[in-house]
Formats: sequence, C-alpha cells, structure tokens
Amino acid sequence: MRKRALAFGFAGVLLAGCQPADERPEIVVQRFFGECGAVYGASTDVAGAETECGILTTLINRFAAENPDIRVKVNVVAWPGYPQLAAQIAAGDPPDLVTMHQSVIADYSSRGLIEPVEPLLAEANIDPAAFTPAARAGVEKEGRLYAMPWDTIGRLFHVNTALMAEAGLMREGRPVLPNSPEELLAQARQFKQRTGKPYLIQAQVSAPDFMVAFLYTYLLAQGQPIFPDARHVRLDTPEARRVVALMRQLNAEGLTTRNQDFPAATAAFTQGRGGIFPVGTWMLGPYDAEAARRSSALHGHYAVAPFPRLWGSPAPFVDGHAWVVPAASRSRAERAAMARFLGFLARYNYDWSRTGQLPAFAAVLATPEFQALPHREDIAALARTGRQLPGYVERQSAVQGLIGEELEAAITGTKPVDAALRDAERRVNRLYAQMM
Amino acid sequence: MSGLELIDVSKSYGATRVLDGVSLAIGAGEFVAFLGPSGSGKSTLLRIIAGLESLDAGEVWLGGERIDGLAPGARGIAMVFQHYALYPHMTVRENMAFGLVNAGVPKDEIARRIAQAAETLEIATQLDKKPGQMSGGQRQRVAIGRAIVKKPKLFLLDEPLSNLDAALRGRTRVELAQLRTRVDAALVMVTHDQSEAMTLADRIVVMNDRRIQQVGTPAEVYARPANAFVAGFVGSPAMAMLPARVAGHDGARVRIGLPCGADLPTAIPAAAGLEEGAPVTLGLRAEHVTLAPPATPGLPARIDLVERLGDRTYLYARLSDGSEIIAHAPGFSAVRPGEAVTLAVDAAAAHVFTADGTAHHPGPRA
Amino acid sequence: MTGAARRDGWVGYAFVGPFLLVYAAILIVPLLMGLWISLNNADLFGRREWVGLANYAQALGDPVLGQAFANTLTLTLLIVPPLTVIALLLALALNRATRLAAILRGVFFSSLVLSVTIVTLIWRFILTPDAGLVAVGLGALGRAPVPFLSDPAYVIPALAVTTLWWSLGFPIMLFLAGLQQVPHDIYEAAALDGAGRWTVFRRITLPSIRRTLLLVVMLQTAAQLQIFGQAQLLTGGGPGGASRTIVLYIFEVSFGRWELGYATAIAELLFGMILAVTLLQYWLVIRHEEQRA
Repeated sequence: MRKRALAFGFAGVLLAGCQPADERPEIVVQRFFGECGAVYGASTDVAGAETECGILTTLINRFAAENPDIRVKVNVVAWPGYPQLAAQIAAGDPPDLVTMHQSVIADYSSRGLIEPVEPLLAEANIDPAAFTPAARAGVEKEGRLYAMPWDTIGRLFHVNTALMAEAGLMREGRPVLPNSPEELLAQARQFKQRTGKPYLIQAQVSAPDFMVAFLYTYLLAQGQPIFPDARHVRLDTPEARRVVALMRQLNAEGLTTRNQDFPAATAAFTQGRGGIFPVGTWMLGPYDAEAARRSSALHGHYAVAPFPRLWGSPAPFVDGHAWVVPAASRSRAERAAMARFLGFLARYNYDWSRTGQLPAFAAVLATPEFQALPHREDIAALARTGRQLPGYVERQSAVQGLIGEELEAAITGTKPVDAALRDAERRVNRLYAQMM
Repeated sequence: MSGLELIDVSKSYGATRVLDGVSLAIGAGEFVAFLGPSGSGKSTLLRIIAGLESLDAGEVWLGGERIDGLAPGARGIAMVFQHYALYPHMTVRENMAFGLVNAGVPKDEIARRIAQAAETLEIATQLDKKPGQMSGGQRQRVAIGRAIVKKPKLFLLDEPLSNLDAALRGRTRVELAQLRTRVDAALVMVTHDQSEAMTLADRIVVMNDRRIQQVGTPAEVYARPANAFVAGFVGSPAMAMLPARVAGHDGARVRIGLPCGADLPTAIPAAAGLEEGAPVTLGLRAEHVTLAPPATPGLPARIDLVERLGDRTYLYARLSDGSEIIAHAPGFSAVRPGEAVTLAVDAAAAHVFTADGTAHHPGPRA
Repeated sequence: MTGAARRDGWVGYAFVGPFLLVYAAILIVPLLMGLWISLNNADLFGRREWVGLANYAQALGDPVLGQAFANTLTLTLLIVPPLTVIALLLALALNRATRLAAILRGVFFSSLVLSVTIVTLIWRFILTPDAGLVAVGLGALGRAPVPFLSDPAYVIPALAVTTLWWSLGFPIMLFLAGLQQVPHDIYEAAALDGAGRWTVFRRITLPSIRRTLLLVVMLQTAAQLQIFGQAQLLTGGGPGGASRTIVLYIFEVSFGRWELGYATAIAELLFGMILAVTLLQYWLVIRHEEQRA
C-alpha cells in the first residue's frame, strides 16, 4: 500500500514538471563574429555597443525583447563556421538564418543548399534596389538573390600617424603612401631606420584570408583574371609573382612583423608596435574607439586609407557579409518570423556600419550620422567601386585556405615563390577538377 | 658461536610493539622452529632476520658477522616463502639461477649447482617449465631448490606446510627432514602448527605476546613447559588446566586438592608459592588420565565428547565441579557422550602452575 | 542441447543483444558504408558517382597526404616512446601509500580531464612568441623568443609536448594498476636474491607488467596516429602543412572541400594502417608467451 502511494506520488511529481508546449515559432540564427556574452550578456543597448560582436549581440537581444512572440535561438560558431554549416546541412538540420561571406554564397546557391530570399525580402518590405551596387553584386547569382546583404568589407591601411611622422612620412596631416612597389620598400626601410619598428603589422599565422586578400587586391588591380572560369585558377603568372615577391621581400628585410596570429597582430597595432596594419574595414570601429582613449598609443594618431595603388589601377577588392537561408521546409509562422528578423536587421544597418564595415543599404551612406562617423569619407567610395571575385567562383573558403597555405610558405621563405604559386595553382585546379 | 644470534631485538609499528627484547642463539646446523599463534611476532622476527623488515633496537649476528645493517641479499641467507614467491615469467632453471647470477657466480658453477639440486629434489625434468605449469608441491620444491643452490649459512622457512593438503603435508615433512641432512646450514622455520615443530625441529622457540616464552628441545618443551601458555599450546590434545588449591605437603612433595574433593599426591617438590592453601592450576595431559578399572577409586566425571582416532580414543569429560578434563582410552572405546565414568589420574605426572605463571614440574622419580 | 541449456543460450543472447545492436549500428555499419562511399566520387550532400579505386590511387599519389602521413608518423614516434617511459617512471615513483603520492597521482591525472580546447588554449599561452610563458622566460635569459607555433621546424615538437602533457594521466593509471597486481613477495625474494634496483626493474618489474606495457603502447599508438584537435587548434596544420596530420587532412577534405569520397578513402587507409600497426605490436609481444598449464 505504501509502495503504491509512493509510486503515484513520484509519477505526480514527474507530471507536474511537464510544462505546457511552447507554441511560439522558433528561428535559429547562426553567426560568427565572436562570443562576447561576458560583456554584453542580455543588453539591448545597440547604440552603446562597440565591435562587431557587441553590436550584433545587442541587436539580436533587442529583437528577441521586442518580439516576445518569437523564440530566437542563437548559435555562435568559430569563424568562419563553414565546416559546421556543411555538416548541419548534410545532417538535414540546418539553422534558419546564417551569416556567410558573399564570396562563398555561390557554392551553396549552385547546389541548391540555400534558397533565394526574394519572397522573404518582399515579406519584410525590403526593396533590393535599396542595396549598394557592391552589396547587390555580392548576393546576386544567376539572376536570383540568395541572401540579404549586411555590409561590404573593404581592405584598409590602418595607420599610426605618430610613428609615420617620426619616420618622416606625413605630409599636411595625411600619411604618405607609396605608389609603386619600389616606393613601398623605400618608405618601409626609411620607417624602420628612423623608428626602429616594422613598417607593417601583419598576421601571418593561421590567417590565410589576410594574405590572400592582399594578393587578390593587387591581381585585380593589375587586371589579371584570377579565376578565368569556374574550374580554374591562374596564379603562376608574372603579375602574381611580383606581388608575392614583394611580400617576401618585406618579410626577409624585417619590414613587417612576423610569426603573429590575428589577435596578436591586432593587439600589436593598438600598442603602437608598427606603422601600418593592412586589414579591413571591420577594425575601423574598434580602433577608433581605442584612439578615443586618452591613454592609448593611438590617441589622436589614427588614420585610415584604402590599400594604395601599387600596380595597375586602384581596384579595391571587397567582400561582404550576408544573411542566407539554408534550404529546408519551414512553417508559415517560422517564415514570417524570419522575415521580421531580416526587416529588423535592415533597419539597424547604420548601427552595424559603426563597426567600420560599409553599409549594404545605399540610403545609410547618405545619412548625416554615417557621414559624421570618423574616417568614413576616406572609404565611402568602396561601396560603389569595390570589386568582388566573379560570381561563378566556387569553394572560396577552401580555395582561400589552399592559396593561403602556399603563400605563407612563399612569404616566410620556406618555398621559392614560383614553386609556391605553381603548387597553389595545381592544388586549387585539382580541387575544382574533383568538384561535382 | 658461528650460528645465528639475536640480541635484544625490538620492533614497533607506530605505537604498536610487535617484538619486545627478543634474544636467542642458534648453533650452526641446528633446525629451530619459531612456534606461536598469529600475532606472536614470529613472522616479524623471521623477516627481521631476513632483512625484509628493519629492527628498532638490538642486533642480529650470523656466522660471527653482524648482519642487521646489511641488505637482504648480502646476508648469506636464503628464504622459502609461504607462497613460494617464484618468478612467474622465468623458467625453473632461471628462477634457481637468478640469485647466483646476481652474485656473479660463474656460469658452469651455476649449472652444476642447479643440476645437483634438481636431482636431489626430483625436479630435473621440470627445469624448462614455468611455475604456472607446475603443481603446488612441485613449486615448493623449486622454491626449496632456489634456496639450496645459494649455499647459504641460514635457511629461513616461512610456514612451509600451511599451504599444503594433508597428504602432501606428510610427504613434504619428510622432505624437509631430509633436506636438513643434506645441507650444513642452520634452518629456522616459522609455524603455528605444534606438531610440525615437534617433529622437525632440534629446538623450538615458543613465542607469544611479542616475547619468547621458552626455548628448548621438543622433549623439554613438551615435558617441562615453562609456563601455562606453553603447556597449553604444545601437545595435542591440549593439556587440561584445572583450577585447584594446594592441599598440603607429603614430605617434600605437594598435594593438590581439587574442587570436587579429590586429593592428588603429585611428584612436585615443595617450593615458594606452593604454600598450603595457595590457589594454583593443575595441568594434566590426556595420556595421564584414563578410565579407572571398575571398582577402583577415581574422579567421577561425565563424558561430553568422544573422539575416536583409531589407535586411541580421546574422552572430553567434565568433573563434578564443572572443570574440563581430557582422558584417553586405547583403541575404539565404547564410551558414549553423556555417560558417567570414573577417571584414574596419574598424579605423579601432573604439573602445577601458580598464579604468576610459574610452572612446577614433577621432580626426578625417587 | 537440452531445453534448459537452450533457454540459457537465449537469455545470454538477450543480455548481449542490445549492446551488439548499438555496436553494430554505430561502428560496423558506418565502417561498411564508408568503404562503399570511398569507391565513389561523393560530395557531402548526397551526390555519388562510381569511380572504383580512383580515390585510393589519388591518395597514394597525393603529396599533401604524403606530408600529412610523414607528420603523423613523426608525431607518433615523438610521443609514444617518451610517453610510455615517463608514465612508467612516474607510476613506479607514485606506487606508494604515502599521502604525497596520492596527491601527486591526482595532479598528474588531472590534465587528462581537460578538453582539447582548454589544453591547446593553455599551451598557446605558453608557446606563443608574443609574451607567452616560454618567450618571457627566454627573454629573461636574454634570448629571442622562439616561434613554436609558426616555424616548420618547431611545430611538430610543440604538438608533441602538448600531447605528452595532456595524455600522461591514463598510462600512469594503467601502469599503477599493473604494478599493484605484481605480488609483493617476489620483490622480497628478489631482494634476498641480491638483486639491485636496476636488476629488479629489468628482470622482475618489466616482465611482470609486460601485458600492461603492451596495452599502453597499443592504445597510445592508435590514439596518436589520429591526432586532430591539437593540430587544428594550435597551428591549423601550418605553416605550409608542416603540422597537418592525417585526420586533420581528412577533416579539411571532407568538410572544407566537400570531397567525401576522397576523404573516406583516406580514412580507410588510416584505419588499415592503425590496424596493421597494433596487430603487429600485439603479435611481437604475445608470441613469446607460452600457453598456461
């Protein structure tokens, strides 16, 4: 008798633990950009947030707070998150909205792994004509739009003007930048001689994207088609050899920092341990915030400029972030929720551009707030003139890894430049040959 | 003295004293048994001699040399362990050779000694087997062989017969006796079985309660136990201990009175502590108590238990005051438990133990 | 078989059945599926195209795989012998009943419970030339920091040291278990046989723990041939593939390049290699042991 009473009691406790089913539609948002819950937690103060991570975290928190009838689940993945995404898609359980680089979209769109977003954009009242030319070009594949563009990423020279002045490379308050490889080397040597520090700060360890961006920029500038068609890359060319030889020379003469990974390089610039950090627009916001601090080495000595023209024409190489929708069957309610999320993000594009990335919506470029952001007039043109790789180029993430690996070998002197470029070309072409 | 000498050896484990001032001298070629119940300290003493335990105080000498500071392997001692401790991954030959190899004995000498020992112990055909492939008795012989080839000054045997079944025990007892004749070293055996000690040893060291109780030949220990413990431990069945009182003196001999009223004239000379009226314990061995022939005076008793061994019967009886006594009868006795009998006691063979444990034994027959 | 025996047989199978089912589903079936996929040109999302042994042919002629194979082999040789020796020495030293030994046993085991992410994070802090622990130490001695994580000559030793530090705990435990099963009296017999410490170690201890030694070496070899986390997180396989291991390459090919068929072929080759190596080790040790009586 006692046993039965106990059993019933236990069952009752278990049942009491059941909650009524949560009927709200759930959207799964997957993103890189880092994990900063320790700083931003559940904050919804978007205007007060700094850095890509902070602004995006507070944005999503705000959306969840303003839309209590939608359940938002956030996956933070390590940059760039593509192995995870591939695994999730292969397993049949992909997220609903994912951040993706525009250069990578073609891979997924060509296989039907992500769906065109025109219906969602329409539901969110977003007109594709509102995108900047660069942004639009980045998400349009074979006449369809496969993502909502989020920003345009340009490459920038971040300059420590105090050290440049010490090196005698400032004129009328603007840094003197080279116009040719010979000038670059000469100025770099002068810099090192006068300040004792390396001219450039570079991330060369575990940072293939860094070096590949440099190469792509100057190959595009020389008018060389890096990817003549969808299945081939051309790297074993005199133009490419020139670029890589320059990078190799900088390393050999100690005109750049060596053996640093990305966090180390980022910190090195903040600490004033080099003249120029050639990285991207996304560091504009953080470095600006850093320069505002009185005690910083960059205080009052921070400037930016697009990559200087060294060969051919000034052709800024850009990429961009975008939000894609992996193909899956979703309920009406879920789609509606996703559309609301995209609309929300579109409204806050200005806040996102505070990071330094260029906004994807042309209207933001014209606003006084944007133009009042520091240094923006130096770089706003990128949104219009920036060029991406051709839309048919696939497997960018993997290709970048392969080319980056060979570049690292060439630049550090482990391999001769020709051999490295030849190997890079061979390996990428083989990858493309295997592609189905 | 060229044998083993222990001088005032003491050992404690933490706060527990396990050996208290033990002193002993053993002649070269003697076979001595350390006999005692568990916890008496006999195994500890053996291990101290072997060097496997350190001593806290005292000295150990062997063959005129002080050995208590030496490593076990340098003492000239060989030991046969209770569970043989053979090296399981080595063959018999390698087991026996191990100690000699370590000592740097030349190869041919090693081979010769092993062959000889194997011959003696009848394990010559087993030399290339491993211990795991042999029976218990064979393993013990290998353990003994391993000890023999080292030609030690002293053999230590740790409970050599406890692991064996009854049949094997008998055979091994014979082998150990033979071993003794073949080697000219001293042997020290530790055992809790008094019959082993009685049959094999030249002298027995009876230990109890961390001390040596008595050292003597088997005959001495049996016939003239130094105290009540030895008397009760040696001999099977155990000596019956009856509470009694000194009733008086018969000239120079003591007369003992039992609670049941009997008055026994012993052959024990009067001595201090045996005044009239002093409470004592009377010790009687079973072989000195028999069934009284009919119509002769004796002690009335009731039989509790009957053990028939074939050549004799032991009768466990109770006297009228409740004291337990053991009697014997030849052959298969017809007596049954519960019967009332009369027991005849050979009082001249009785021992008396005073309250302080001193033993008094029958004097020489007049 | 009698009815009762047959019933017992059924019951036996019923007990083992669930485990066997799960084992087959999780290990055997994927193994066979992988074999099948490796004979195809397959991508991660379901496309298949029969190519027979072409993937294997490509694997055998792939210089990047060759480099990964050499790296993995070097790492295994750099890790397994020192790991075995150090773990054995530590187990011998810690095989006591003292309080200090118990505390130290816990200390040495504790690194094992950390995940590979934490371990590589710790070692990155130690090895990075930018104000890492070693760099600061070298600086105090007046020397330049060594780029452990970016110099091709140093990356493999760096991975080896990280793995050694992480993996010590388990072999120590195995050795301790093996040592404690050695009956105490044979050490006493050896002491009486005049054996010195080195002789005891060489001729008593080592042969007694022979099977434990074999177990440790087999497990560690199989484990280190599959190093992945440390390579991916500490060096990314770089620089220039100098620290790329086979499993890292499989990961890159399958999840980075989406070439599932090729990746599976490499995985099958790795499986065959590990199987061959461990069986060889087993045979080498066991052939000397005779049957028990």
